[in-house]
Amino acid sequence: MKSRSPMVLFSVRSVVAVLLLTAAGCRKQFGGGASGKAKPLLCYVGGTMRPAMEKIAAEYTAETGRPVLIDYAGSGELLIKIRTTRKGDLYVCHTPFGAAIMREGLADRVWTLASMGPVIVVPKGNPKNIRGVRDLTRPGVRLILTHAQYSTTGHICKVIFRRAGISDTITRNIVSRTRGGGAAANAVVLGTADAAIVWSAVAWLRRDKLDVVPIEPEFRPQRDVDAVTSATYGRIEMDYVRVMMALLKCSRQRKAAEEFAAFVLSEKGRAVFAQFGFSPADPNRPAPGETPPRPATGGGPALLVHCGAGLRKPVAAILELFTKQTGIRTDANYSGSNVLLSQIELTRKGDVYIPGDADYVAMARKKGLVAEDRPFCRFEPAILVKQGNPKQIRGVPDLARPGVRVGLGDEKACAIGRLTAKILKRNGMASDALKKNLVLSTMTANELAVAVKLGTVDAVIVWRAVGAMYLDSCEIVRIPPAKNVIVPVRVALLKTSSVPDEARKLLGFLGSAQAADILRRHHYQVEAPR
Amino acid sequence: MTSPFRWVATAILFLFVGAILFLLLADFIYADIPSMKEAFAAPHLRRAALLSLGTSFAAALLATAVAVPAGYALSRYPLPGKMFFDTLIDASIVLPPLVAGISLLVAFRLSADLQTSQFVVLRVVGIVAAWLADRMIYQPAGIVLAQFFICAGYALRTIKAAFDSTDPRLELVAETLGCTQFGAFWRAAVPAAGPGIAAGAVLSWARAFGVFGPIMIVAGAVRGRTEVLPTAIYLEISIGRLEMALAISLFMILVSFAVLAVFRMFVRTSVFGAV
Repeated sequence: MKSRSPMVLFSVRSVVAVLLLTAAGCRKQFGGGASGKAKPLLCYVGGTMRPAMEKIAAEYTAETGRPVLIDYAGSGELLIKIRTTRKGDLYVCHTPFGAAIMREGLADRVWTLASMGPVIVVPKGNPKNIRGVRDLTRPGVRLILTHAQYSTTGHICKVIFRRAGISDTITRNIVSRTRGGGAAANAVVLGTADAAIVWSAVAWLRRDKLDVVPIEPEFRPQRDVDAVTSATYGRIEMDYVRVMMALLKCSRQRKAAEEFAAFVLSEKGRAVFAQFGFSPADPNRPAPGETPPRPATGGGPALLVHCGAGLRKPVAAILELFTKQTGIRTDANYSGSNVLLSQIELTRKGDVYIPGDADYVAMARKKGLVAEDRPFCRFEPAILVKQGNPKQIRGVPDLARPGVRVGLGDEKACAIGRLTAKILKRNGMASDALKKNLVLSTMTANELAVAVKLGTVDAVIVWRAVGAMYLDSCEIVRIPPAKNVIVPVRVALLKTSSVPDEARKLLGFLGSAQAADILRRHHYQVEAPR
Repeated sequence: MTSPFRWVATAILFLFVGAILFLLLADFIYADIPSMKEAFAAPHLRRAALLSLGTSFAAALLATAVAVPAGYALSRYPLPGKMFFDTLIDASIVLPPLVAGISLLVAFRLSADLQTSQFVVLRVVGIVAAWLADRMIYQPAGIVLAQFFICAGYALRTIKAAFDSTDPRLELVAETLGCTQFGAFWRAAVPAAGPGIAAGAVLSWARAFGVFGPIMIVAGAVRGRTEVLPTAIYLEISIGRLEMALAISLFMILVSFAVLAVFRMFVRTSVFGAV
């Protein structure tokens, strides 16, 4: 008798299991077919963004009837899944992963949805009376941090501690490191640590159990100064951590995905992100290669404008005015001029090309990409000094005076660096005349201006239009045209344009008096110097 | 009867059971009643519970169906490289579950890429793999697949041990009485190893019910679609709702307790031997 029971059991179990399997199968069909023909979009969401994205997806489905599935895991794990399955439509992550997925060639469009910053979290009531970053070094404070190499907050903490001068003293209080901020915050909730440094959005999700102590502004990472460059992720700006959405190349429903992206970027989507403790995205800091999603409705095709990142501010204003006046929509793709040129070559897409230097238009012409071109504006190098000009810099030769700390762009890395030697020559100086005074050499023009602002150098040679963004703490000393090298900027109508008539209209508008006004307002030079 | 050893052994047992009970009690107190009510009321959690039960039973059934003949072969037949097989099965148990999930995805990717091969046979393999991938990846069936790979090793290990402990002469006698080889296996060896097979099945079910890492990788953590109970716990912990996560855990423990108790009554044998 005893020997038969397993057999009976087996058959009963088989029946039960088959029934359950069928039930699971039915459910699957249900899920797929519940909303008619619309196939659900699959959106991978990493990090702390899931609750916000779930809410936005639910609102989107309620409004349009189109379902959106949210798959959640760590951003890195999701990257592996996208790489191996080549399934899915969208990927929401924060800073380094957005760049990583573009570099891997798995996505071709990105949008910045929001931004986030680090905060200190402590148990409700702040029993250890933590008031700022330096309090974390007090004896007996058990601090839990995220991984120093594998997490963005880990990198940022290093900068914060360095700025606060506590890099060494803090180490004795670090009791553990977790992979992500969620686990670190959970440890504070459970009382195994007294404080953690996590994203504000991580803190918000646990607001009923944790108090937030802000990190002092002077210890936070600074724009253009605190950035790391890694082989996998490229340049990571630590002062501005983006929440990004990427459109995956493997998506079979690109139009639907883009429509959902437009919804996430709309006022409604932004409001949800704000509600979940994220900061808004800065419209003046788009990610490399970022262009707005094409709106779901709207008449006529949009012009695709490839524009050098250094010209973004005035060009964005000009394009807006152009659309307002003509009704012709435009999509702008901002990136390095060289990057744009290769994009145009590869994709054969685009109507107008506005690189930061006329040389690039000449290169594009050589490659047979340019139908016509015209002058746009001029980039004028200038000297940027601290407000009040304490070192009395009046011209380029003054930079060689003893005791003046000078910053210059790297000759090989950026256009302004390449120009510096020529400017010195125009001023009758040897190319190494500033070598003694050179204390800083940077990869980008922005970093030069920031160095003046922070007082780490006394003077730099930088574009006047870049220096103009720092007039609150700096002063521009213009170089006389005869002793300066002014770079002409030209705009080109591309042969790849499918709507050349509209593109020609834009080309004309870029040369109009209205465009010149906008350029001047942004401190770009418009008329040619005599 | 009252030897000191008896007291020591019983005390150790009580200590261990007490520790488990203490953990459960701590969870119960932390989880609080409102979260438990919320957990039971949430429709996506009810679906997750049903899906968890369905998939884990299916995976355990598959694992047992594979482990009974495979375990028998491993136990009875003199195979070349038997030690290698044996060790490999043990090693598959050691493999971190997350890696099992990623390996499945990588295997699907590589074989699906064969679709562009110049050899017809490989192209067919590629087409079949791509067809399977469409039905497995991010689908409920993928949950069963992931669970199967995690729990099959346990089932095989236990069931092979069960066959090892029965006398092979039983099957020889059955054959002399007119049974075919299959008949001897099915009517003599399987019933004799019955409690061991049942133990393997239960163990693999328990493992499948609790597994999480590879499910997240293969089937995703999509709420209301491929969300099983361990996924739900992970999702709650990731946003700091610990009491909700513990409420779901307690529910899982309750379910497993019920399943195991029903199983015991049904088989009238303890999972690991006679009562």
